Amino acid sequence: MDEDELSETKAMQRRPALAIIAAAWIVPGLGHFLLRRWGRAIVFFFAVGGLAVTGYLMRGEVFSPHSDGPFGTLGFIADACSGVFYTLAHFFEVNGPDVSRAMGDYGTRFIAAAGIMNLASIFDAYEIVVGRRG
Amino acid sequence: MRLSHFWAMALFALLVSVATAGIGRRTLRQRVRYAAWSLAAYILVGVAIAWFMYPFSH
Repeated sequence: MDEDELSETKAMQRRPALAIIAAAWIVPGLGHFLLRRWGRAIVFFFAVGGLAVTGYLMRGEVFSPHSDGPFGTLGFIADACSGVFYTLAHFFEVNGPDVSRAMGDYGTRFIAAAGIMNLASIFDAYEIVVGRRG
Repeated sequence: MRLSHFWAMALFALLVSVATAGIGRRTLRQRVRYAAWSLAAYILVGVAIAWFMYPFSH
C-alpha cells in the first residue's frame, strides 16, 4: 500500500469516527447505539439524562456560552457536553436556577457531572471505533 | 424537587457509579460489581466526611 492509499484509508476511518463522536455528543448513548453496544448505550443515556434532569429539577445553574470568568467558561463546556440535555434546560427549569439553597448548588454539580460523564462516553465510543476497546 | 442531602448524594453516587462502571469494565458481571463497590464507597466516604465535619457545624 503506497502513501496515498494509506492516507485515504485513514481518512475513511476518520469519517465514521467523527460521525460517532458527533452522535455520542448530541444524544448521550447514541454513539454506542450506532456501534451496537446496546447495554452501554442505555446506561449512558439514562445516567447522563438522569444527572442532567435531576440537576435541572434541583434548580442548578446552567452556564451560558457568555458566562463570566474562567469558571463560567469551564462550567459552560461541562454543561454543553451533555448534548441534547443542555438544550432541554429551560424546559425543566421553568423558574430558573436558585443557587441560594443547597439543593440548587448541588443541582449545578449534577448538571456538570452529566456533561463530564457524556464526555467520558464519547471517548469510550471513539476507542471502540479505532479498535482499542471491544 | 426536594431531596434530603443524603438522598441527593446517594442518587448522584448511583448515577455516576453506573456510568463509570460502563466505561471502566468490560463484562456485565464486572460492571455490576464495580458499580456496587463504587456506590458503597461513595456513600461510606460521604457519611464519614459528614461525621468528620459535624463538630465544625456547631
